[in-house]
Amino acid sequence: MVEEFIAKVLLPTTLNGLAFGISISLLSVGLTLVFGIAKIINFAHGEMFMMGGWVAFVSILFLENFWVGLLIAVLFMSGFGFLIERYLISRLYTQQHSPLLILILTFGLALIIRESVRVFTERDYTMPDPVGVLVPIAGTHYPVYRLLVITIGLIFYLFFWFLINRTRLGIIIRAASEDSEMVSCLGINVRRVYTYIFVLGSALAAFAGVIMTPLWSLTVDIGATMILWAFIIIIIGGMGSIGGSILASILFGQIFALGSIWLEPREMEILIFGTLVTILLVRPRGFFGKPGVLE
Amino acid sequence: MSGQSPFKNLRLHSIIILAIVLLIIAPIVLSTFQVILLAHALINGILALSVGFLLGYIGLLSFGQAAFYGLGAYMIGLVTVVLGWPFWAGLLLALIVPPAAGAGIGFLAAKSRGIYFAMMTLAAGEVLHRYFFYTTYNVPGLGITGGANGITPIPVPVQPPDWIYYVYYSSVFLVLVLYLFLDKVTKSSFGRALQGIRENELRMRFIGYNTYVYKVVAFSMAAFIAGVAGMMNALLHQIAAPESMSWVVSGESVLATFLGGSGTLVGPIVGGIILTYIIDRISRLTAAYLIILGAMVVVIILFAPKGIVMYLLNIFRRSASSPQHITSKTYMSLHTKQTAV
Repeated sequence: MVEEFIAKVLLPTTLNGLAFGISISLLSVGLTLVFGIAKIINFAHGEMFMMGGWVAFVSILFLENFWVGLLIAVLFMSGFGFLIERYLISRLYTQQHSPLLILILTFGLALIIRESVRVFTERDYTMPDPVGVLVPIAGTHYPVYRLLVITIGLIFYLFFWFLINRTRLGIIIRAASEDSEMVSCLGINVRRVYTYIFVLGSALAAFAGVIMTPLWSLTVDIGATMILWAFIIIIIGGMGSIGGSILASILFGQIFALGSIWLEPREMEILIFGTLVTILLVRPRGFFGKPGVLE
Repeated sequence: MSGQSPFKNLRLHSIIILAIVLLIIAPIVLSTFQVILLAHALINGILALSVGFLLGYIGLLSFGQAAFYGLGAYMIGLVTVVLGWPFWAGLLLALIVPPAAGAGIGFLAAKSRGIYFAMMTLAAGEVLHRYFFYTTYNVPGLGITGGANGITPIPVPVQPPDWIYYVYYSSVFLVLVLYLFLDKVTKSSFGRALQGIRENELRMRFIGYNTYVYKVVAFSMAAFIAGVAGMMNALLHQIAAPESMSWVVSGESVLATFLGGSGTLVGPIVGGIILTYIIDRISRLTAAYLIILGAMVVVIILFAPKGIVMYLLNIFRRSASSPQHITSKTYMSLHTKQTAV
């Protein structure tokens, strides 16, 4: 009985939670990276996620290949992120209280993106599993695609680690998150680094949006839901901390998946917000938040 | 403040008195529907006032003000419809519960600042919103909130066509009273300390202020004001709906504050009133009015981050005299002198 529960319920649920946590971690890493370096709170990040999903959906309708659709969505949203950062957000860097102004600017952008997509569609879509193969694990069958998502996520984590710790851009990123003025005094174009990071964040959001659509249904309001969760995750992980947000995402995925075995959706939401408040009470800056970041 | 001439205040006061007189006589020429809209606008002005007070005078951006707005509305509904208590008990609870909840949430959130504070209030507001949205009165134990339908109809002591005017005049009265109250508060030593926290919380702590307590008290006051707005909203439409608690409402009130101009008390009220009319007009033209609202946010933030009203006022004044801004440095020097005495 217990063994059957573990094999039929607990193991697949844990793996589902891992796949969900890893996909949402790509979203929250982008959010926290952009925050940590450029001090941008991007409220439109969830809409980039949603829009990435829709771009991929439309591309897949025409091209009938999931992976090409993924590539198109990522490229499209990178370009979109570039335009937003270069022509809208960058105008506010020099303003007083710029983080708050940028927060509200991106809130407006999120409204524009979400409601524009809503003009075209109101429906929910579910994308078929692009791999469509089940693999037997411990007496149950599990979709290969979800295992692939987990693997892709782990490869991305390695990529982040390499980018931050082993490249020249990584050095600049780490330095700029400590003291961007000093870095620009050293003759480095910090504005350009902000742009790179914002584009990277948008691409990650689109990537997460596309790989999550076969796991989750694609709706117009998914961005708003995801951004709330991603905010919770990066606050729990500590704003600006990549490792913290990855850890918090995986924790979140597990709470979400395991909790849904026993709890109703409404109780889940209250449980998650309750967890946030509790963690912040014990650790006001999350797991790895540094003191003095935007305080 | 010694830096301002008394005539400037005189002008502001005469404009306010004129506005109040106009609001008092307005129902003579307006239809019932327009009176409802104007009352709604005034109520949104009160909600924006609570956001504007927090943002402009303490530097705290609350993204969860709708929670208190909704609580004010729900208290009336719960007490009169679900519990069946008399009407005045509902009014009383609507005035007590939001500030109490504000003190509770402030107790958790006031340790943080800036973005963290905004996110904490957002999260706390969403917990309440989801709770009120999902529970229904059929569920034993929890269920008292009417779920997605909200609580309706809320019984009122006077029958509806006349009742609108009662609510309308109460709203006018409340806008004035709350404005005067906050005006007094911001000019008191308590208010000066709040502005000191806005400029430099660390320094205020060094001077010897317990900034945490100040922030909690101010947040509770703002929650009270938002609760009053929610109560009036529930009385006007005779419904306490879960949508009134959602973060979209909070976002709109932040937008109203920016529209009117943060850093003043008149600005947010005017912003709330204007925004209500704008939303009303655009939503009649197109269902996708939120796109236009978003575009407005973008334009305001890029071109007039101090608020449209302030932007226009500055254009008017630019020819006469340059406005005097109290910079943080002069302010702090004034304040440190005051406390040293």
